[in-house]
Amino acid sequence: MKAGEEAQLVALVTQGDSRAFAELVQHHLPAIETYARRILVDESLAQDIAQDTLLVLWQRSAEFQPEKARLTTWLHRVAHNRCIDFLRRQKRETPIALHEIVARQEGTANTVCQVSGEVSEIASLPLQASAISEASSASDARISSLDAALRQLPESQRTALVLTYYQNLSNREVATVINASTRAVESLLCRARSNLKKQLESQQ
Amino acid sequence: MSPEQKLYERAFEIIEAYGADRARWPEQERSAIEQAIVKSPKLQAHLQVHAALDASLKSLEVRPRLSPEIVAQQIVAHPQRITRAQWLQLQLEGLTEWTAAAFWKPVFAASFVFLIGVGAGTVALEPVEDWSQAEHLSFALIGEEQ
Repeated sequence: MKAGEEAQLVALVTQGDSRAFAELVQHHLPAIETYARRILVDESLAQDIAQDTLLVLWQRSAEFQPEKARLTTWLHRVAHNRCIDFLRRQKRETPIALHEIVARQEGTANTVCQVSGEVSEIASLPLQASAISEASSASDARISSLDAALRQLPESQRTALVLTYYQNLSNREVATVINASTRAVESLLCRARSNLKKQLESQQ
Repeated sequence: MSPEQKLYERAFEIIEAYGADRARWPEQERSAIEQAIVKSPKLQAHLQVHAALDASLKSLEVRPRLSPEIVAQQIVAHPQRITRAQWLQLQLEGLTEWTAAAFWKPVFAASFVFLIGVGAGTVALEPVEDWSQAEHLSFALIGEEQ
């Protein structure tokens, strides 16, 4: 979506046009939801934050200044503030390590698997299927170790990495979202990638 | 440091920060970095290491689950004017954002130390009335004038 077209849609949203809003939601909700999910562990909370961010667009669209930033940058900033707000509150209220939360979630996933009676079925699968499942579980293990490594990064490093790598924002846009200089963003990215590399090497 | 050495170090930094994908590098520096990589086998090796990390990162996929149509329908049911509670939350957010910025911290630290110093000086130090004692002490420290 071009910047001019987007600015027009935002202007229509300010006048209460629900069609223009639906078009903007269609375009931006997936990115905001995936951003929140990469920053927070809790999926439903990430969804709440994504919806809340779009509610901000509906109610405060007049505050968006298209000459200053792209709409995606503005929305990422709103979502980022909410995520950080939550993480800080969580840190104050429940000093639980992130790996414990991940372990809890994994525990929940295992429980769900057992409740649905899949455990006994897995044992009776033919050899070929178990070979496939071994390969896929190796891949799953690699992905989950990467996910864990990413989650163990300090919040500022993780945010910079996610915004640059997954949300495809430029370094200036990332700087706008996290309220820092481009030099600081670069430094955060350097440290994030270096830490990630070390963690992945230590896991191998 | 020679300009070539500078460029080499900058290229190293850029790869460390943004990875091996050229599209992510800062646009104004991209062509210079590419030229530096062509000339340096060390940078080429560094690029390969980061390409592997990029590939790992790429495997970590997150799929959105919310339906944009449903979310849009639910949101437009809300009034467009913000409530007082939302206005208050907005102000608090602004305040949080301001406190999250780092610039006020050194200013606060410096003024805090200054105020502690002024406070301690006012409370703990009594003005010297008998100067002969102070004189005696200074002679003891630096020696009596001959």
